[in-house]
Amino acid sequence: MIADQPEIILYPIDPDLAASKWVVVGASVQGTNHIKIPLPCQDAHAYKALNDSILVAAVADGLGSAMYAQAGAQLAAVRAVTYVEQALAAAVPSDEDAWIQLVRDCFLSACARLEEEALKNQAVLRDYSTTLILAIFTSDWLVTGHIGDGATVASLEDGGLVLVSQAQNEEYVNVTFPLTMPDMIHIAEFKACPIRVKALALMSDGMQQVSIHTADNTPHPPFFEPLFRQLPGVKDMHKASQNLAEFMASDQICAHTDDDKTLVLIGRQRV
Amino acid sequence: MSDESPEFDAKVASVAENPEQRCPCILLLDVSGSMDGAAINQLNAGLQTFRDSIRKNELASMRVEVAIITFGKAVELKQDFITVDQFDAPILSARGQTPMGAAINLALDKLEERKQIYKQAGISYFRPWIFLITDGEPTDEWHSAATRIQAMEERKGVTFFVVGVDKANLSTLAQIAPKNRPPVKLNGLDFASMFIWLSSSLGKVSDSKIGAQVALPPTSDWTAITA
Repeated sequence: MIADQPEIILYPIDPDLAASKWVVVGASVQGTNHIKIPLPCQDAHAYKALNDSILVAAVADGLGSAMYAQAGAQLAAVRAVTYVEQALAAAVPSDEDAWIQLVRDCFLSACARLEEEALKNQAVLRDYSTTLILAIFTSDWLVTGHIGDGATVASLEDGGLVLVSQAQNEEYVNVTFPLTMPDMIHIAEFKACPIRVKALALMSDGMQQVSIHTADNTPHPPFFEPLFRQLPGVKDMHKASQNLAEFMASDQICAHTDDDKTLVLIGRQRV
Repeated sequence: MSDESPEFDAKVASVAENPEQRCPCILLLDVSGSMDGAAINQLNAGLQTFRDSIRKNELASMRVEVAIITFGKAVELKQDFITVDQFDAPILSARGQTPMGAAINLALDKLEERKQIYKQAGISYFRPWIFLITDGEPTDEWHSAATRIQAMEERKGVTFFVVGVDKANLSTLAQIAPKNRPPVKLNGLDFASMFIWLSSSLGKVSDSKIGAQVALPPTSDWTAITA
């Protein structure tokens, strides 16, 4: 059995988020195999409440084969969120094409950030290989961008669960498409739906195995529903995120996955 | 921390019962007459080590599926795909020639068959491994099998390793092995160290995603130094 405690990363709750009507509960937890090898937790996440009607979140999973995977994941997630924050401060899109253009530019910007870092450290872009999932959650739009594996699951107003974005189709579970690949912008998937959803979950592939049915790619309701149901009542987001991290580090989860794992849950406070 | 129930308790979520992800691995073993004696005994002991070593990792022993194809007097599927937690190492004996070409073809056929089974059952899987061990060179037609497996390696359809033992003809084996991964020479009859390496490499592969290159542990523990 593993005696060592896994590394846990909680994204700081900033004052804007604390004061907003949003609830975010999220954590990245080092996989049991990364403890053994040892490798740091190469998953990262970031989020920002822009106001009471717009929240942006990102999840990134650094590739085990990349030398600076951890930095790559962190830089990509933070840049993606910062890019959207700045772009929306200038103008909020009102149609699908404009939203998609914004997310595409966001992914190019996140990749450019990694290129910048590679140049600074005399490394190559591939050394920072990471997946990237981005979601912009507004009162009337759900906008996503996705390269590599992992998934986004939404809870609809009628209570149904839907897989909003998923891994690009690669044959092997241990091979994926990174943000840093040459043709990334044509392989990544960008979606903008004029829909108001109740809650959203972003996850890296480490959590997919325990929450999404692999046979038909549908979310597992007994996993998501109890979590989504509790979001509106959360007052202390940091404490709730700690609780989530403990669950993700538990034997119940680790029996099914030894990879790093990230789960970010987004909902609105009960009014 | 107080005893009061938390306002958010993630433990109420119950996990999806998905079939375990699989990492198929075919051992392609030379049991021709020349392997008789110490070599086959060490190979048998090595298989036992392989099994025991993977079984130390609970998740890997449920994920790694091993199949054994031997080539000697005949080409034989000695062990069809089985997860290591169920696997008992066979005792092999050595006789006959070295029909390596036919053995490679059978391995590729079995692999395709296995992938179809995974797909139908909704099981996700890792890039398969084929691990070939020989002390000689093929005595049958091998060029078409070599072309086939190299093409598959180039398409990233398989990770193919070739290990030569004792008097193995490394220059012929180099024409069978993938261009980017030449055959390696086993240090004496140290199958044990080789199988420990294989089991930890399978553990690594069944861990996280790989991108352009596969980061595996060094093989220097069990390969002979060649000038």
